[in-house]
Amino acid sequence: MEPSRMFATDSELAAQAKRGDPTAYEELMRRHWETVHRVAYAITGYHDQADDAVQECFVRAYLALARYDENQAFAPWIKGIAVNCSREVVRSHKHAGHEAIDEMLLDPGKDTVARVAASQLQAVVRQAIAQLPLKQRTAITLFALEEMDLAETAKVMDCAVGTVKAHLHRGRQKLRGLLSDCLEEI
Amino acid sequence: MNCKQARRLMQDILDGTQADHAELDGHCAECPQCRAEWRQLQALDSAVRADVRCDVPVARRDRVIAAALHRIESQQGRAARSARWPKLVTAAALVIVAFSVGLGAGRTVWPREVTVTKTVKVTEVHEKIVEVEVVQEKVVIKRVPVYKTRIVYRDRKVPEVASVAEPQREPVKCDEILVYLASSPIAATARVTNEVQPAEVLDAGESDESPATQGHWQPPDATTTASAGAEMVIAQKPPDY
Repeated sequence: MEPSRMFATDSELAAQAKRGDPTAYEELMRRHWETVHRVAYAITGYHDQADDAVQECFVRAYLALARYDENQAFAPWIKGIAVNCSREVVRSHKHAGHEAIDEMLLDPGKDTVARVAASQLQAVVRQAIAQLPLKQRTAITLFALEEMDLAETAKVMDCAVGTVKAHLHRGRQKLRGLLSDCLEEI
Repeated sequence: MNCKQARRLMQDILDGTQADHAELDGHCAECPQCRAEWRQLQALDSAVRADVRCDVPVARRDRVIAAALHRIESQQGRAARSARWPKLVTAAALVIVAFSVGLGAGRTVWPREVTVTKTVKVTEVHEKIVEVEVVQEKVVIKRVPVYKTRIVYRDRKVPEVASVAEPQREPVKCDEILVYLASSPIAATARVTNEVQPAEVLDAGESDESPATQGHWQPPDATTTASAGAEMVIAQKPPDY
C-alpha cells in the first residue's frame, strides 16, 4: 500500500475513487471490511450469506459514489448500504438459526477450553438473535457495535430515534426470555 | 422510584441516553426482581456486543474484496464498451429491426421512415365531423345480370304443304270454265263440287275400250257438253301424292 494512502482520510479516498482510481476504493474496502461484515453477519446469521451481502454492498457503494457527499462520514453511509444488502439476502434465503459451533472453533490463536466455552455461549446468543424479527435484530446488532449510537443507528436504518429505541427495548425483552436459563448462570 | 420507572431507566442506561446509575442502584437494592432483571440485561448486552465484534478470518476478507473488485471492473468494462459504440450499436440495431420487419412482411426493405402510432386513452368521446383524405379510389365494377325479356323468333322453315301443282295461268271467268274444262283432261260437269266422284265402272263386255282405259275418264263429246242449262259437275282428280 502506498504511504500516501495510509494517511488519507475516507473522504479523500472516496474522492479518488470517484475519479476512477480502483486502488483507492480497495483501500476503503479494507478499512471498513470488518464493520460491514459484522453488520452483515449479525443480520444474516450465516458467514456465506454475510460474504454475499458484503460483496454486494461494496459493489453498490462503488456505483453510488457519484451520489456520496464527501462532507459526511463514510462509515455510516456504507453501513446503511450493508444493512439493506443484508436484509435482501435474508429475504432471499429465509433461513432460520445460525451456523454450528464447529466453525467458531476454526479461529486460531486462543485457548481451546476457553474458546469452546466462549463459542458455546456465543452460539446460544447467536441463535437467540436469529429468532428476533428482522428490524429488532438489525437494531440490536447495529447498536452493539462500538461506534454506533442511537442517532447513527437511526440514520443507517433510515428511521426515527424513537423507533430505534422501541426496537431495542422489545428485542432485549425477547432475548431475555429466550436466554433466561443461560442468563441465570452468567 | 417504582418498578416501572426502574425498568424505563434500565433501558435508557443501556441506550446510552442516561449515565447516572445511582437512582437505579438504590431501587435495585430494595427490589430483588428489578435487581435480577438489571443483572440479566447487562449480561445480555455484553454477550451481544461480544458476538457482533467477533474476528473474521483474513482469507475470507481477501476473497470477498477480490470478488467485489472483479465485479466492479467487469461493469466498468461493459459501460466503457457501450459508451464507445453507442451510435454504431444504435444504427446496427435499427438496421436489424428494419430488416427483421421487412422479412416478417415477406419482402426485404431498406431502412426508411417509420410511422409510430401511439394509443391514447380517451375518457370522453365526442361526435365530430372529420374530413378524411381520400387516399385511393377504388373502381368497383358491378356485374348485374340482364335478363332478356324479348323473345327472338328465329326464322323457321314453314313446312311446305303439298299443293297442287297448278299450272300458272291466268284466272278465267266462270263462263269460261266450261270451255276450259272441255279442253282439260279433268272431267268437266255442269256442277262444281269438291266431291270426288268415283269412276264409273263400266262393264268389261260392253266396253270396247281396252282394260287400260277402263275406269278412266273420257272426255265427253261435244253433244253432251254444249247444252245450256245442263248441270255440270266438275270433278277433280285427286292429286297423286
